[in-house]
Amino acid sequence: MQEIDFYRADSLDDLYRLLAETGGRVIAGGTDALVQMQRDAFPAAVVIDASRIADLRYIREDGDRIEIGALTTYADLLASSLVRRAAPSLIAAAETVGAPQTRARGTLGGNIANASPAGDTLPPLLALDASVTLSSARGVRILPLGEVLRGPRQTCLEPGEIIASIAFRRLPQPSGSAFIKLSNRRGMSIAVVSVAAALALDAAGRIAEGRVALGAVAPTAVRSPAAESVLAGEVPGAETFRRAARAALDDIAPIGDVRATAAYRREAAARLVVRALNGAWEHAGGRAGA
Amino acid sequence: MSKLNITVNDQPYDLDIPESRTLAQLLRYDLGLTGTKIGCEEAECGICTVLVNGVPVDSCIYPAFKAQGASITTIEGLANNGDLHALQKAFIDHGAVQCGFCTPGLIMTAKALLDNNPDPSDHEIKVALKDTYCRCTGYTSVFNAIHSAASDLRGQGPLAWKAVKTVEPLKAVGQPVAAQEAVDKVTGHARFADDYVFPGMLFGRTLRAAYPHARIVSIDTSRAEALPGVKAVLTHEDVPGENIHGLVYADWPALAADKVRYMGDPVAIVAAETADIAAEALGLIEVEYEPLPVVGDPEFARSPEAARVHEEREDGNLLKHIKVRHGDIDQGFAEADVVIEREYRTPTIEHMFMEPECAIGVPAGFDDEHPKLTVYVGSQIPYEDRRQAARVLGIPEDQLRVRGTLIGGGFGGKEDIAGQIHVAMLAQTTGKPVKMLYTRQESMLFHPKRHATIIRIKTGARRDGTLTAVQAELYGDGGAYASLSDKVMTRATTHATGPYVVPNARIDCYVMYTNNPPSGAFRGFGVTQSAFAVEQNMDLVAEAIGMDPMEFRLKNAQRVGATTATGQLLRESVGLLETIERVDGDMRAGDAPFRWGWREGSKAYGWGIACAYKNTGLGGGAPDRAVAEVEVFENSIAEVRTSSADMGQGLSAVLAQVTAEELGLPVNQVRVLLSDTDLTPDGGPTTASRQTYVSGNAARHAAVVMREALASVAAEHMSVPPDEIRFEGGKLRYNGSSIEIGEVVGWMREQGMEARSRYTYDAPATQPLGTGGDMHFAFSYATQAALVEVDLDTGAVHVLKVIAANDVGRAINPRALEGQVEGGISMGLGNCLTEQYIIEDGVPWSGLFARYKIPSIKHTPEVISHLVEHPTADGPFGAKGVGEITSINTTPAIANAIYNATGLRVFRIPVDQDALLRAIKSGAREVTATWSDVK
Repeated sequence: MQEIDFYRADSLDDLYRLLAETGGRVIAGGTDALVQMQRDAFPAAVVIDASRIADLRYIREDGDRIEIGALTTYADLLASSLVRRAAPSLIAAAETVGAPQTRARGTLGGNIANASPAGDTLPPLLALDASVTLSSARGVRILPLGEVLRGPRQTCLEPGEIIASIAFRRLPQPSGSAFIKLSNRRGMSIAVVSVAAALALDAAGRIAEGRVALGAVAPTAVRSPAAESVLAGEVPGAETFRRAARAALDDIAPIGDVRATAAYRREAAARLVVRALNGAWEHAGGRAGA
Repeated sequence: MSKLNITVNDQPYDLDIPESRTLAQLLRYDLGLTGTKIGCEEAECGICTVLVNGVPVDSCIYPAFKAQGASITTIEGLANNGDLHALQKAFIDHGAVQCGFCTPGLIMTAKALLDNNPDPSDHEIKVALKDTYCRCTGYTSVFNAIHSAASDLRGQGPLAWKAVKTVEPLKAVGQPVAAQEAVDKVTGHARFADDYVFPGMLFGRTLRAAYPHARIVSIDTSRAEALPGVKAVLTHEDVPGENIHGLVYADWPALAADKVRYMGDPVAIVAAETADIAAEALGLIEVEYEPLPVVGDPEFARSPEAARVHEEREDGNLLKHIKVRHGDIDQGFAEADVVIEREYRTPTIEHMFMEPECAIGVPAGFDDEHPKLTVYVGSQIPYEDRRQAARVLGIPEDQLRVRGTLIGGGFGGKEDIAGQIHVAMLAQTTGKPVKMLYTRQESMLFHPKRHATIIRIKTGARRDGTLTAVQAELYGDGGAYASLSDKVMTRATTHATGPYVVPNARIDCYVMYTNNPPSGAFRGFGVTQSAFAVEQNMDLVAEAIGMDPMEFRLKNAQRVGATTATGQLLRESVGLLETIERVDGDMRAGDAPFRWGWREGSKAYGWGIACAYKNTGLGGGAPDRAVAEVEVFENSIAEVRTSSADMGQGLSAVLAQVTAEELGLPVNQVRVLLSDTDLTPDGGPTTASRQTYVSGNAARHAAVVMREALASVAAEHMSVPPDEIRFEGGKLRYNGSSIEIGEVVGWMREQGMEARSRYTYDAPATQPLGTGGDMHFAFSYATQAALVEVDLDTGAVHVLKVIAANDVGRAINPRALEGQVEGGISMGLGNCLTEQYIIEDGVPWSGLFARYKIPSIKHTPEVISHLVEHPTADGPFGAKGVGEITSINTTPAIANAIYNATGLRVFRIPVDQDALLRAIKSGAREVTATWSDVK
């Protein structure tokens, strides 16, 4: 393993201080970072372990707003009946993350900070219109998740700044959400395409709000405004969902790599958008289209 | 260094550790808790799982200091004062323990699940165990074990093992017996090579080639030698004997001399005080290369412009041309109404046994226990290791001892030399024990794999469904060194007609040297590849003549009285028809009328079938011999000794069972000692599905000799006729009275006799290919049906169900046999859907566990298994080979099922969802692309 200086922060103040003093890189569960270190591929010489800061590990409900501390693990999400009810798409994503060994340590904040185009929780959080609270010794700022993700492995975090929490509002009932991940190409389990959808229906059964987000088909996980504008005000169903899926293709720019061809990603993305919308609709109490 | 206070299995520790120590290293090497295994160091395989404050973590990447103040539970902490935990018991009772290397990880992951969920569903088990891998079991038994343990822990008692139907079992033979190592494997006390430690032991590492093909201009080791802590740096110049080894052809230098021929070629070896120093030293060795053109595929290898991999060879890159000639091929095709000719491709496949190779060399005279140079290794062929190592070391074989440790899976991948020779050289040079443990990545790079093949096959049949001719041309990628290529591709060639009566055949196989990693033995031994082509062509022909594929196979199936394409008359034990009927019956059962394929929404479903046969034993004229020794002691314990290897397939139980049966002993009174060139006679290689038959016969006959000796002594002592003495329950019985077997042993000793017998078993003679006659002394037969679901939106393929029927002659240990069936199917499924060892211009892309996906518990189909027992006359209790036949026809069964579901014929594996989806969309009928086509 490469030579790396480790520090452990036991509180937020501790973390700010260590960040200022060392300029080190914060790790939480370390599920990606430690593998990189094993392969001598970790891009920093100083690491600050934040995983023991209890103040950043919580799931709270405040009216229709749900706030999740950045150090909340995938396992915490899976164990939360609150999240299970409010965001089944996020549960589905957490279930697909690695093994229990990874889910026990990997955190929601870490998945965002990692900013992988294929990060499993990012599409469901985008489709939930999540916002991220960034904090530093200087104060806090709150940004939509889409603005935090800047590119592959790039975020808008400034030096000294950390991800403190993630929040989203429950959609008004009847509503539902879903997540689908496709993997397997060249034998790897990283997403080839992932899609999350969320739907809220109005009293007439039309789509009051429909959101679609995709992973692994652009430099970051992305929302699809084109698909969402197709959905708005429409009657849910196969025809609407297929139109939304076609529109979603305008908002993605998949590349071909070892895991899939670009053409496959487009084809699969379109079909998975339909399927995710069907899943969200079903969860909202609607009938799944063909 | 930093201070660490932790509690491990309720024992507090106060330690000073380096920051870079992982929890797995701490447990294994600092605390000696070697039950926790290391499989990949990528947090991918899950077998290093331990619980930190009750939470499962991959200890291989978990920094030990992160566990400050934590309470750790390892596999050693599960049993309570010798009472096994419910999971440990259930894993044994449900046959979920084979090689045992992943067992601790599976059990610990399952424990974390059951601690939170006392009654998990199959789905919940899949979610929990999806990244804890096992290469042996196929996971079906793991599900059963977890459900059973959960029930037990809930106070409802364990579930019974789901027995498979067999002929009436005897006292020991036919019983589901646990291997003698089973308890040690579930408690973490089983010792694999890396679990051995010797005082003052050094650590070895190997510098591998920087190019797939290059001339070595110079090697400078001076900087490495100067590094503090380095005790030896050896190159080809330091080889004391002949710098060459190899199982069939000696063509593989122990250390590369003039050139390197693949990326895994060893150039230098280092021994140092720590593994880290040894690794650092590798970086200080300066090697100047002159790169040469790379020979990347077997077809190109045969062309005149290809560079020579072995310049001295007269045949260029041709390793071997193998021919089968049978009948009159032109006449055969002239008689055919339908001729189908197609080309199939199969990729290089990695064994991915869970235990990376490890060897330890202990120098001669190191201590009283090691008067001679000793190599500890988990090897499939200890006597071959000794022969090859002695040659390189320049010492007589009697001065070298190979001691087998437990083997964490082999599947053919531990037949060749790995670190055996290197550790012996380093031990002799330094005068200290030297351990060489390969990393997972090194293991994947270095060891011989399953041959990639290109198979063109032409099948002719009459409209009534009679096969008239098969012509085939095979190319095999032999890689840089011969290993077992000759034998493996011979098997691919001779089995290229499938298990059918084919009156006219002409088959040519070209095995080529390339600059890819060598290819060698891998479960199925070439037949896996040819079956993929043969069985799909069978379906194509059946379709062309409008015949049901099952009926077509029934019509042409080999049966007693048939002659194979190599001219062998099958005189007995051909259970193929029954395997077809059993699978067919199951597949067509149910209320709805049977359909081969149908659609439901965006999913397509299909059944596919395939048959297979596989030789038992070496065959082809090779003498096939095993020697076994049986000794009985005064405490009525018997010990069987032979050098054959148990790599998880269950040989030790089989040997104990046949011995127990013949001696009338309870099976737990028979111990088995394996794999030691000083203490156990030569059982021959553990390959070719031969050990149950060959070593099983040696043990059985040795036991019979022993029994007769005991009977004769007892008869004399008690004045009764020897043939009136029965051996039962550990006693000799006659006329209503009985005596302990151990007491008779005492009488023998009083008479100056040893209660020890030794038997050299020679399997029935075979003939070389091309001479007609019996090329093999037995064949196993199998039929499988696979039910698949193809997602028409994504191209993803899921195998829902596999029905298998295997003719194994006789089930000696039905529970272990089911493990072979389930594990074989899983491996076949991986071969078809998830695995490809990708090599780009001689450079392996699949260099990480994360880049080579073996089936996980998520892939586990429902398995329905039938055993067909057509005994073979000379087999022990009628048994024939089991290890390979179970895995051969899964791939073509799935491929045929995909066709029946979608109308798409797949000519390359692994089946690619990407290519499949594009074909579905474009309306194509054939898929010829696969993963490696996408850069």
